[in-house]
Amino acid sequence: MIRSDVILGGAVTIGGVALLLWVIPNQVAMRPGELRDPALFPTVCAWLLIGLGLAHFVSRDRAFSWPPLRDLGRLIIILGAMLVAVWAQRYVGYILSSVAMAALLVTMMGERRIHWLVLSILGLPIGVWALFEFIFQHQLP
Amino acid sequence: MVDVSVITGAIADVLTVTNLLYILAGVTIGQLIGATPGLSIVMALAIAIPLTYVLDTLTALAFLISVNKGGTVGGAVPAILLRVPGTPESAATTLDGYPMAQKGQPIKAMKYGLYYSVFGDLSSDLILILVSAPLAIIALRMGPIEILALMTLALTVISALVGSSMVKGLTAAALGFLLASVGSDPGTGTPRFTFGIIELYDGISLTALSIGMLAMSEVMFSIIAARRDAAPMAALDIRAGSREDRTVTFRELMANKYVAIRAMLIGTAIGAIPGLGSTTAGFLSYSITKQMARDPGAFGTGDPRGIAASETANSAVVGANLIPLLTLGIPGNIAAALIVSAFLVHGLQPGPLLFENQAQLVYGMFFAMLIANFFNLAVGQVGMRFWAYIVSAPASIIYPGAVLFCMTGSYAAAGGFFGIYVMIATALLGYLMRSLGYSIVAFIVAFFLEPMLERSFVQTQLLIGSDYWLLLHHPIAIALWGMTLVTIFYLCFVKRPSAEGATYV
Repeated sequence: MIRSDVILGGAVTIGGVALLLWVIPNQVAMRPGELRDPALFPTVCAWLLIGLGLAHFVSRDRAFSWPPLRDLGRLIIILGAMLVAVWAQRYVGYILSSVAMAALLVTMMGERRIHWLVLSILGLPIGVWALFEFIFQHQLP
Repeated sequence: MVDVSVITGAIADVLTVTNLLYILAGVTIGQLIGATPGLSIVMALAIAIPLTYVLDTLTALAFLISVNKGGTVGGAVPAILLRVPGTPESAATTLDGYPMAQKGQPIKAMKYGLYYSVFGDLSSDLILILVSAPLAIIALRMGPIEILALMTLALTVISALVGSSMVKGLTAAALGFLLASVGSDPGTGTPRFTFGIIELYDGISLTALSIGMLAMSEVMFSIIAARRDAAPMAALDIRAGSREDRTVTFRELMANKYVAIRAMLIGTAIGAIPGLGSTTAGFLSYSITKQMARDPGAFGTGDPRGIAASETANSAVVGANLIPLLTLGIPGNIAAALIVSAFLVHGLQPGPLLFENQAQLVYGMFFAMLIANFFNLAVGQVGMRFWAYIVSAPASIIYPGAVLFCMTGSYAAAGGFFGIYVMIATALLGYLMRSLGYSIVAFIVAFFLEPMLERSFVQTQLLIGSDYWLLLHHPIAIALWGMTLVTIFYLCFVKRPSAEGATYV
């Protein structure tokens, strides 16, 4: 079994190398006549990442545990719900998309009591919408 | 010497109905969120920032600082009634607060917490007011090389003291630098890491990033951890006890005056050091008080000295953590970094120049802080019984509500849907960083400091060119870099102090 510090250290080192060889040359271009190089600081960061990744590689620091697969599944559901809600806001508006997202989250958390369900699914989205629209005078989609 | 007209002007600025109402609202919201288990002050601040965009600078700062102050007081309520700290800052309060509540004195325990908390906060604010202007004058004499050295030291200390390892802390800081360099280069206007996305030319919104990393990632953790079969938390009945058990007399408070003064000094000192925070202050003060007591066995059984030690110290950090921010432009902790965004939104750069260019605003903020302490006391006194019911609110309403606030706040703060996408992306990054033990504190502080650090770095490079011997003409910078090396060596080979708290690694 590969040690977690080896994986993390390796990933950070590879990330630093990728920055140095690919991302910075392609994404930070120096224009002719410029006195200072805009890539200088990102390059220093990339070298820092390479050095720290290597240091982690040898540090034997394993003060964490990988999140269980079940948690990652729930994470994907939450992220997916948020992304769908943002996308849906353009078409069905803030309240409807938020109601649907709140319903999913509340169900995921195992709430079964009717009054809390109503408050979470209907009360919260309408309350937040009213707060931003009327109190803060900020137009929501 | 500060002009008297500046001070009188600052007082007049603060004493408007609008400002007083916002201070009251901030303190109330802070106490409410602090009292709600699962919601933190940092989360409250991150969500509150977008709400301050429409306010003028002083009102916005007064509101955010009041939220911060209120949260520290509110966090003690669940610590005392549930043995679950509402905020990480109140973790040490559970040790004696809960046993006291169990003995039939929940209101008394909450009142002890409130009074000592306000004392610690107020004293620390006064120290901030007294020391920040003289320190800022010293800071103004520093050149770019000294500033670069100072920021290197501050980031090393922060990276070393928070999180699970120094290497991971520094890695998080490097990632923060990298993400902050997205957008147009401030010196040349050259786009960096924009990947052809127009919205990225302005860089990544600090507010959307803060909401994602600090609030949303924590909410995701809580939703993921929520179990259907989890029993709801039951708070202790606050109606328990006789009339005597529900009051704290002046004599009872004064009985612990030395404990409170020592705790205030510990909290102020810890708050002034970047990287350490309220949780460390609370536990350090508690353990010192216990060690110095003649009867250490009484601690943990509902001893008011335990509450005094913890609550005074953790609240004293709130004012003191603005010392490095106002004098050096370096946020001492996450709350200070978030308050910075209120400065930035209004076109102000925190640091020593503020005393020169915006003295009336700075002193206005100081007076708002002092007023907020008294509002904190009043709201705590009245709201205590109400917060006792809030602590039992189900997670199923708290977290979906927080998700909605995060999304709507990002939309409002970053000017549209792109802000929400940034928030979601940084929430995922924050979740992964927390899971893998990388410090979010180091990341956020580095993200905030990057423009200043890059500017000092480039200026230093222009000043010395390739002649590194020129650095010998800057003894302060050399001393600061020496301290950086000593910090790295010391913290790598000596046992590391406890981190900022379990929540913000």
